[in-house]
Amino acid sequence: MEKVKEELKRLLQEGEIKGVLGFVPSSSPQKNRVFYTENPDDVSRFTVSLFNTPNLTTYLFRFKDKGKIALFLRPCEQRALNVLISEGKIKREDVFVIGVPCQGAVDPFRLEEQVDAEINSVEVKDDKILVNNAISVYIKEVMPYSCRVCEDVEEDVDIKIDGEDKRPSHEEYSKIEDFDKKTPSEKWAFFKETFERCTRCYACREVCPMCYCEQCFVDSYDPLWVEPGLSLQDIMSYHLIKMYHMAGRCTNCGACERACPENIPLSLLTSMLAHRLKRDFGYISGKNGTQKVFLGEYHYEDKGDFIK
Amino acid sequence: MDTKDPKILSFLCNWCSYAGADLAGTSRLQYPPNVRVIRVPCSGRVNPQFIVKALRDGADGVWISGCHPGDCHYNSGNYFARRRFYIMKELIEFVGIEPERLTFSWVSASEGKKFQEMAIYVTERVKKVKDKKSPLYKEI
Amino acid sequence: MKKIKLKDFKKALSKWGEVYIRTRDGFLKEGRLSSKKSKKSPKEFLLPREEVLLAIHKKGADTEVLEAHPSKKKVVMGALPCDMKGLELTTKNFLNSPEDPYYKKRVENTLFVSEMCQYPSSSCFCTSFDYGPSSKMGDITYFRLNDDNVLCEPISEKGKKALLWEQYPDAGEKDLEIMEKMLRETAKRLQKLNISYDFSRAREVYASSELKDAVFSCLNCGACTYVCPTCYCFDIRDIERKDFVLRERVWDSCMFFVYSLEASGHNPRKNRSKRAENRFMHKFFYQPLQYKEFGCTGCGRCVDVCPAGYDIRETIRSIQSFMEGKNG
Repeated sequence: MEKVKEELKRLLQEGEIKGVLGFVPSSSPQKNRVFYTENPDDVSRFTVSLFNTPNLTTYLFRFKDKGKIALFLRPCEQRALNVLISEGKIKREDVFVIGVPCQGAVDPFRLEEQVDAEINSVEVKDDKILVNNAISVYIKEVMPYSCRVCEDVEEDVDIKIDGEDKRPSHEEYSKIEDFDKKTPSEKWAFFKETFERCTRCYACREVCPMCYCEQCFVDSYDPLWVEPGLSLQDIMSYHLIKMYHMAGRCTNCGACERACPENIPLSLLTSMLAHRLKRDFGYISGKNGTQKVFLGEYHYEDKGDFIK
Repeated sequence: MDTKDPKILSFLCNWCSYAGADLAGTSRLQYPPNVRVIRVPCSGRVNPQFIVKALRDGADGVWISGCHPGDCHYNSGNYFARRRFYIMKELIEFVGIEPERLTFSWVSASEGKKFQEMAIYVTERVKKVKDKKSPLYKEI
Repeated sequence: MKKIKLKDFKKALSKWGEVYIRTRDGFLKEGRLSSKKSKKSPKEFLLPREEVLLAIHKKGADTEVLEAHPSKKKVVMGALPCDMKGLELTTKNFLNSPEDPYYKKRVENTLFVSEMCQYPSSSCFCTSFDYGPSSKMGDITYFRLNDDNVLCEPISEKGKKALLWEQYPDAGEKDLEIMEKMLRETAKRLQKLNISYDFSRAREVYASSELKDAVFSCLNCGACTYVCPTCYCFDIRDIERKDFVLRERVWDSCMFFVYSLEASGHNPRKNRSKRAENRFMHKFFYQPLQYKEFGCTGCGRCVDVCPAGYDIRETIRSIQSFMEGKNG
């Protein structure tokens, strides 16, 4: 990390990069704050940890045509960058990618719920987090599900932070397959229980690097896709349509779930998309920057047995 | 028609399935009146969001039909549609909306008979789950 | 002040209306009185998340207009001073002329029972404003002496009439002493920020790079505006259903793109950072200019709920140093 910081400082001083986008500690230890600087002296403040909540590629749109921006990306976030590159939204030469060894990412709100106390300090110890020097919580339990099923990326980084890649085991989507076995009413009951909490603050939308539309479909008056208000039907309509827009683009980074203040398991839906695309199309989104977008191409032999 | 009968919204592509429905009509083939048709230029015109919107606004089932693969009037519209429908179908089923409510088919302009069979099939399928309203339906 | 058993107190209040008590998740009918501030503020008792203002019913050729008359009596129990301060501020907005009739009816039909705060958290900074954890607000206020007993007293006329106060014993000297001591300690544990802004320099602040840098991490989701006790923006929409047209009022958030979108297609706050800046400016400049009071109560809920780790206190500090820097 120190070596990378030195290098970033040098690049900033020599003007090879315009600025650095990363995380600095915030007043809440369970979530770090996003920070951008063009000042070489500020580089030392950056931190890389489990508590880096949003996906930094989301912030890249603010720097369009502003020069080369360096940012810290985990493998899933590098995939998100690849999708944006293949969609022509961001140019690879405008980005300086700092590869981050990943251990997964903690959902701050789930951690709060588990601990059920105010969090004053956090410390990572192997596979556990020690909160307030008293309560220890398994990292696995406070991560979005997507972190357990993450896929690899064809690495294309400009500089890499040394460190062991301790991503949690690549589970084989077993939770999704188990969920598929449930009856429709059981499934709906699960979604009713969890999604009813949605307040429609759209944190999941705003934090998502794929949600770059200037005007979202939920904000459209005509056609009125989704009514305002908190009925379960409208909440589910919103999430269904949003997830449809994610197909083949979502890289399952789990930022939406970590951003959700109500702890809605959104990554179950995104993981399901990833699972289906992998199983039926052999498609992994954002594997590299040249892969075509899933819904933007077709093959004659695509799966079609569901059509009569 | 009884108001308790299911309402099925169908999107038929102009060049194949709609012509197929026409053929079924001119051949005097009987099919259930539950199917309400919206003509679209191509199955690729059907935004899968329509499915969500239809179920939410009170349709009991949705049926989308287009040209057979290779027959698309616009060369590739139905190939793109196939991928989209696949995603929406998986999502709809995953959240627990009964899979019977959603049917896709390829019906060509010469398949009046298939159109009749499909209309019967779709109606029977939706009738199976008709006793319950679609979970996505919002009442006042 | 009177000393009452918590159980009896709740029971007596339930004679006035349905009692909603403060739990961790919000103000609910069921659950235990929590010993933390709630995640959501009680503003939805006066301005619900969604409400139908009127309905137009088509009956053949005729139409009938049905207007909403919110008349359910509710008791909000355990609202903390920061919640009450927030309601005070929103009420200023809604009951200034022109009066909002729906809001007014809800104010009449709600009894606010506030609790003096003993639960400061690291995100709280209420003493930075002109009130504190021991402020007596609402219709009735109480202090939680222990798990079973409360010390309480009426404040408004409504509060005086709500209970038969004579039947309860007065609080003893000792209990009052404990209360004083506890409240003093609470106040000590709270962070106090120095906010001495020159409101006439609002334009200068809005244009400053300090403000822009301070709000950079904001993602423009509406999480903070929905939990904030003083955010009161709403949207009114007409919704068509079979035989009905409903006029609905729902919460809106200044963080959203469509909030400031004009019919022409022009959006004066198209830029994400401008929307975040506007929220800060509204609370710390425009509202003081209009109502002579800050639009922030220092409850810290926005700090708790922010997914990007944004902390409004950092912005307050950096604007404070901006003010001082340019003066000195």
